[in-house]
Amino acid sequence: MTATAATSASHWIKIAAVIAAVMASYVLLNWMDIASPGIADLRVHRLEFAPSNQLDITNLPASAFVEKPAPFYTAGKFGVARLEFNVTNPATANLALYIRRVRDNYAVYVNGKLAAPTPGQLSDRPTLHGVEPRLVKLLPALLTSGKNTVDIQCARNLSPPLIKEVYFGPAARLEPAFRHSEFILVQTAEFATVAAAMVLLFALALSSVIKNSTLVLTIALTLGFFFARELHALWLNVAWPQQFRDAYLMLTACGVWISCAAFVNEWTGGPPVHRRRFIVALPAVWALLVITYASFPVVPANGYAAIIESIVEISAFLFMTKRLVDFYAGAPAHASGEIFAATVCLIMAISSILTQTEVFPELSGFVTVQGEAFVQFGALSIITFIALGLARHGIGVYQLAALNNEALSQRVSEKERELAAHFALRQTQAAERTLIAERGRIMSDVHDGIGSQLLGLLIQAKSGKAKTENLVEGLQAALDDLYLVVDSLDTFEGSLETALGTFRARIEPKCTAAGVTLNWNIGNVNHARFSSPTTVLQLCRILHEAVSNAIRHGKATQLTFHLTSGPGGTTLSLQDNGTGFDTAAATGVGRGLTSMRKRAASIAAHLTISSTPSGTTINLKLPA
Amino acid sequence: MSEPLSAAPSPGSDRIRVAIVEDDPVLRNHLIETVGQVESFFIVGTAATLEGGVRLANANCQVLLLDLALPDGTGLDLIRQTRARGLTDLKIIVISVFGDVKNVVQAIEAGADGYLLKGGDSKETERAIRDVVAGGAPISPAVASHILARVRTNAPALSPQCGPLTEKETEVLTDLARGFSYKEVAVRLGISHHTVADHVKAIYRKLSVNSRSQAVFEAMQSGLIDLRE
Repeated sequence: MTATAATSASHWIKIAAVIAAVMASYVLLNWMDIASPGIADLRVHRLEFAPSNQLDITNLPASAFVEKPAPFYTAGKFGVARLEFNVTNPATANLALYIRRVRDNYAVYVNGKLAAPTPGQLSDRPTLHGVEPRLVKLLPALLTSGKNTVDIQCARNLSPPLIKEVYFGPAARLEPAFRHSEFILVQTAEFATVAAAMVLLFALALSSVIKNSTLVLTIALTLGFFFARELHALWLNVAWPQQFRDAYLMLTACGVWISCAAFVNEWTGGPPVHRRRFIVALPAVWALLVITYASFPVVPANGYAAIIESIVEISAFLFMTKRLVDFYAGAPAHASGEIFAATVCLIMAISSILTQTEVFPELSGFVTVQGEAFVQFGALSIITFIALGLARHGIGVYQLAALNNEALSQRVSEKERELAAHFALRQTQAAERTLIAERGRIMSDVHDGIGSQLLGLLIQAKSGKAKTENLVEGLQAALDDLYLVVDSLDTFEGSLETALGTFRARIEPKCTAAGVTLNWNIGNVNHARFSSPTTVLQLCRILHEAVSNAIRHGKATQLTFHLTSGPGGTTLSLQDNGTGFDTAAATGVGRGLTSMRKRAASIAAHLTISSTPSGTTINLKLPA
Repeated sequence: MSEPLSAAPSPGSDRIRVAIVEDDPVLRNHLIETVGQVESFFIVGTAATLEGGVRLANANCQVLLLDLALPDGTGLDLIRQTRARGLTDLKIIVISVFGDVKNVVQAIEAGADGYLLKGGDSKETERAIRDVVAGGAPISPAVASHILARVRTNAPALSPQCGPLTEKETEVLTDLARGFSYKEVAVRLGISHHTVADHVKAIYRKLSVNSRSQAVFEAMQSGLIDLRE
């Protein structure tokens, strides 16, 4: 409990710090607004004021004017504030009148001549933002040497005429202050409208990925209403009844308040029961407003509508305060950045209420001016905080998606690794099986071939009857065959061409010794099937037999090897220029030929031998 | 097979000093006989063990005919030690029964200059010795194809400080692996057969540098070389 209390306290301190920081920034802003342009000494604190019911004020007698402090309101249809001053040289005076806030319809007369706005603009229709800063330059042509009179006329529409803070002095000093105020009151509002539209789109885009769709809906509604409210700026020169425009402003404003309260409820994890209350409250308030405006002009609609709006504002404000207090008191551990933001927004709301309901209209300057800054910046702040919150949520969602993706791809790669390992194992096993099979074949070959050959020679040698010549020949044959066996194992990884190359290295010395020239024409055939030890061995044995025949029996001097590949397959041919022999003979060469045929059959190669007295050609067609 | 790279006979008075290390007495005698037959060769000594071979390598001989399988160790150790000590003038020819790839490539990597088939006639022996003394490098098709296969599979066959095989070296190796002689390769590639021999020597160098630096390291570890001297 103590830990919770401590956490809770730290949260309150944080909130207080945020509020203090925001307040301080506005005070600073306003101080800059007033102090930095250095126009405090130019302020006109007291004005002569006269109420009037006539548009034409030129005939107002001087006695009608009484001194009043600004800001002031009037009960009449028009209000006129008078300022008198002396000018020595009108041509170089370059003077201006800066009205910090003036309600809508106003006109400035210098010595009875209209100075602002442009003649013809004064009408019964209010301008865009209601309250705006104005700068009126007093042209030299309008001024006279000596005493001059400036009259500021403002018209009552549905709200009373209002003039707040009037400054008079050199135009060069007043203009920066005017630009500053204009930025705060007009341009930030325009920017907030655009920002609201963008955040609204952002919220709608996120609605499909954020779990709490009600939260997104309330955000979208708040921003949507705000955007709609600010769109009234486009409502220019439309010949609709005034109450349409006023009703539109009221309906959208109440929409902002109620949906904002709903948003705070969702944001702070408030009870869902409130959702139904909001669903009922919004149409109810709207209905009430519509009835109020519809009854115009039977009742002064604007006044009642303003009361309804104020009730909605205050209720929403109280609700949001309660939600935030409940939230901090109940679950400080879950307090997040957006909740601080919501708290700050609430401060904006307080100031907004203070300003818009003009609770303290008689307080000179400070509260109301601060309040106006709050209203404009408040909207922007709310939008910014909502955008930040949405971005945080959005990033969270995408991070979650990225994590899920990562986990998925990790699983996929794990499975891939498993599969690859399985495949590699299978391949190794297959290779091992092949190797064992090859080894077995070659071993039995060595046993039956070289083994029995050596054994035969041994028996002959032991008997003492064998001729040394025969023994040498037999041993040489056995050794030659052993070379072929060794080479076939060496060239296991190689190609048919390489196997033939190695074969040439073995037979070359023999050919050279016998005076036979080798013509070597080995092309590139890429015959993969003829690279296994057994096939290479059988092939080399066939060739070895053929070469031996050519040297020993054919008395050849030229031996030509051809390895070619064509559409019919790979062909290996061996041509000599010897005397030839009888291919049908059963002994000697004939026996060798039979063994060649057998070996060719064992590797599925097609062997053809043609022998003439002018030479022998052996063709070996290798299966593809 | 390799062609004789140099037909230049050694000067009459300057006979090539050959030492023979072979444990099989019959084969040793055969070798003594075949080498002794050649007038320009002079046998400075023979040995049947690795220990005797080390002594011979230190003696004043130019060519060492070395059997790999010795009773007290492998001839490869002798080659590595000799190369690690910087005795590069001594030509070492490995004598092998089969001339099989595994033994020949290992010997080349250790620093051997060539190889000779046991039981060959004196002509072949003479030619092999002369080739090596003249700076030639014999390379069999099987060995060539083995090197190619290792280059293709990116095995650490070649020293990185020498760089990979050049395109020409690869072409030469490919033709040699198919059984073409130096002369035939020269004709096929349109270069002189001396250039072919130069390429093969470069391949030899690339093949053995790696293992030589490794041999130097091992020799230092085992105390055979002391750099502080």
